[in-house]
Amino acid sequence: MGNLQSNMQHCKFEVPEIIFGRGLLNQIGACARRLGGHKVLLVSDQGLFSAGWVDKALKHIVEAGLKVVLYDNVTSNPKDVEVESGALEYVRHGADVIVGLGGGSAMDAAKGIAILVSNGGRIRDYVGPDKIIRPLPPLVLCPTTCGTGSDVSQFAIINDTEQRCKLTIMSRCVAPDISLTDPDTLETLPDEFVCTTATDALSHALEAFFSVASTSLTDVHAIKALRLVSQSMVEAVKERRPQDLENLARASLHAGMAFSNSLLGIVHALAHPIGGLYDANHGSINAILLPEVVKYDIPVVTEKLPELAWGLGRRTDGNVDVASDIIQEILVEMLEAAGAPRSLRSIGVKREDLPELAKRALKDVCIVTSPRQADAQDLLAILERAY
Amino acid sequence: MAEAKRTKVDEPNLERLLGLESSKIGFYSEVKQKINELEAANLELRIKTGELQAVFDAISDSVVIYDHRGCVQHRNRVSPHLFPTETTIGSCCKSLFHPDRDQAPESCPVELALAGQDSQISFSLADRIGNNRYFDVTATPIEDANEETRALVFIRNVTDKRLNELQLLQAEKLSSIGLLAAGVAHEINNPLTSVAGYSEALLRRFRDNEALTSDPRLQDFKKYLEVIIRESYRCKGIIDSLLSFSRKSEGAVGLVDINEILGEVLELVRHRARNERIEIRELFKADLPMVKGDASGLRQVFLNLTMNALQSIEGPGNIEIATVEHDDRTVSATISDSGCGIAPAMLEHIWDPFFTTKEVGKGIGLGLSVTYNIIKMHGGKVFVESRHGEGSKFTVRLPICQP
Repeated sequence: MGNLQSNMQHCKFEVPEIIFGRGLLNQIGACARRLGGHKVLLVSDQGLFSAGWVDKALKHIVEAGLKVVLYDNVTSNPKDVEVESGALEYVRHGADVIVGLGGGSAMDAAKGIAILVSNGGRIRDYVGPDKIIRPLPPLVLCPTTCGTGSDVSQFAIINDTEQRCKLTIMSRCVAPDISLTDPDTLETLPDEFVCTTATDALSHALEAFFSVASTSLTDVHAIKALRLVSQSMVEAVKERRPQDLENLARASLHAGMAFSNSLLGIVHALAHPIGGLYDANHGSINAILLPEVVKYDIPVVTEKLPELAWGLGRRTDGNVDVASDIIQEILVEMLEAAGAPRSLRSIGVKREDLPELAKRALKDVCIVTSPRQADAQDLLAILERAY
Repeated sequence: MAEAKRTKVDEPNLERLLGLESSKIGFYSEVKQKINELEAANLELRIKTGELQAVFDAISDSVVIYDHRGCVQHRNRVSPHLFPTETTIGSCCKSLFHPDRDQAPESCPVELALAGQDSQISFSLADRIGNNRYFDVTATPIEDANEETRALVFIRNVTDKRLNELQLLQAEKLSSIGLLAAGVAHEINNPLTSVAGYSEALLRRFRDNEALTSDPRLQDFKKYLEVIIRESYRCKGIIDSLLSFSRKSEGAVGLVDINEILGEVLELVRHRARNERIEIRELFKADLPMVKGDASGLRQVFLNLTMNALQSIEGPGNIEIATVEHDDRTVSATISDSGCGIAPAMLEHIWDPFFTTKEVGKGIGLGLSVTYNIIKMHGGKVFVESRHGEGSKFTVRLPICQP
């Protein structure tokens, strides 16, 4: 690929088949059938079940003439044990296609199950490069939150319950065959999740935009996502108008397409170990870290700031300093208005764990594309400020 | 805060994460590999199947597999030779085991196997020329791929064995009867000799003594004595035949020309044939190899057979007598007639001593049993083919003399 920034002839942009639109959950069975499946393992969670979406999905799958097995024991920050028992269900019932319906947790669990049933072993065996050597079963992912991006990305984040850490699996193999978004599903999403998942999308877009591997192909999606979030996030949390919710779903999709092809940075490098250690909400952690990391990055991405400010709806006439101030201002404003948490302490992080978290973040894959170099000291400083 | 430094891009690492090579693993190679594996497995299966079929075909018994409905599913190569029509693929067990009944009898081996039981039975079947063929059947239940029960049936042709057994039985019977008869004959011979001797002595006295002849009270005695003597000799005749039947051959053994013997026999019967307007055809093979045997015994054999042939013909008819040399160092003589033939029910009894279909006084039923015995002593075979109402054909087969 060469240097992605300097060498634009070399770039690669990869996304799955994407279907987006209200009411399109009714395509869920047809999608699975198109991929050659006969028996679906539907991976979901209790929240979706209570909201009635699981039943709707089951109905559409059966209407498409497919058999279906439900596995809805996924919890937030999906655990390796949940993935293993889901894989057992898949094998025991002889399923041949996997459909994930839910937030990042359900979708990542679906990915983990797909890995285990085709490649065997345990989830922790697949951390690191090129551990997946056999193709996965067909995979359809239907996000029902507005932030994860898992439905287009090559990431799967699973909690290792023994080592109490997040396992980051990164392989194009875990990108689904079809991403199917029905914004209607956001209408039952609890308020705090609208906020935390939208901040996740926001951090995806920002980090993708700043990433050393960003290209014009990823930038357009990142900017589009930022635009939609800045227009609709606060409104969506407060008013919950369908149009705003749809904008956030769209933002999440664009942000996902951006970071899948440019990767992320320090926010996610730090968020992963924190999520692993405390089982805290991933969107909340991002919301707390994002302003601090943007402040840290700004000095090395000055040439990109005017475009970013424009994306957030402000003209700066190319003035970097103005843009820098405006960006940080808007960011904090948005997060506060949406009611996002503002300190690590408030979500249960212990101060004595910070050095360990900084050390673990250095090993995370997301640190590779951070625009500004950071060592353990730098990371610890960011954590301290966000505490 | 330290001086802000741009990240030094870790090219190889980034290449690994986002480079041209990072993409989904396609199914094509996997599918191709699977196809290759399947094709290899398929080839192996074909070889295995061929091997099994070869083994199946090499089995000299008939092997037939009936499916769960009792219809033939597979059969080996021997089956059509043994049962041309009864084991065609798809034909039902009825056609082989119970052709006369639609409802399978409880003894049908196929039905038993389908019900999960092993069974062994024997049955016989008449072939197209009316000969009985005997078969031993072993039936075993086996499962097919769909867990349906099928019947694996082995059918062994035991006709030769069974016929040998029957002949052995017959021979045993005959030899025991022969021993019995010989003993009885000896016992009767002595008193008969006394009866005949004293009767003759009395008759001489009548002839030599005028006084007795002229005594009117004794006028019938001479006639009575003559009857006693005649009947005693008739009894002696029967007993002599019996003795000759059971006696070990005492004839002089030498080289015998069957054609010559047949010629002598024909001389004896020719006048009778002429009287009854029966034409005798002789098809003798020239230069027939000699057999080693007892000429008088063989003469008796052919006389018996020829007389039987003549007696079986009412009114005009014909007899054909032929001799043939065979590849297996045997010669055979056949006596065919256009007579009344032998009823199937009678066929198994004709060799029994004292079995006769002739009227009382015309024959005592020892001819064929004597024949049988003599031929057996010569190490030969005698057998008959007969169609009731159309005629019979007796064949005598004898080993030729080993130089």
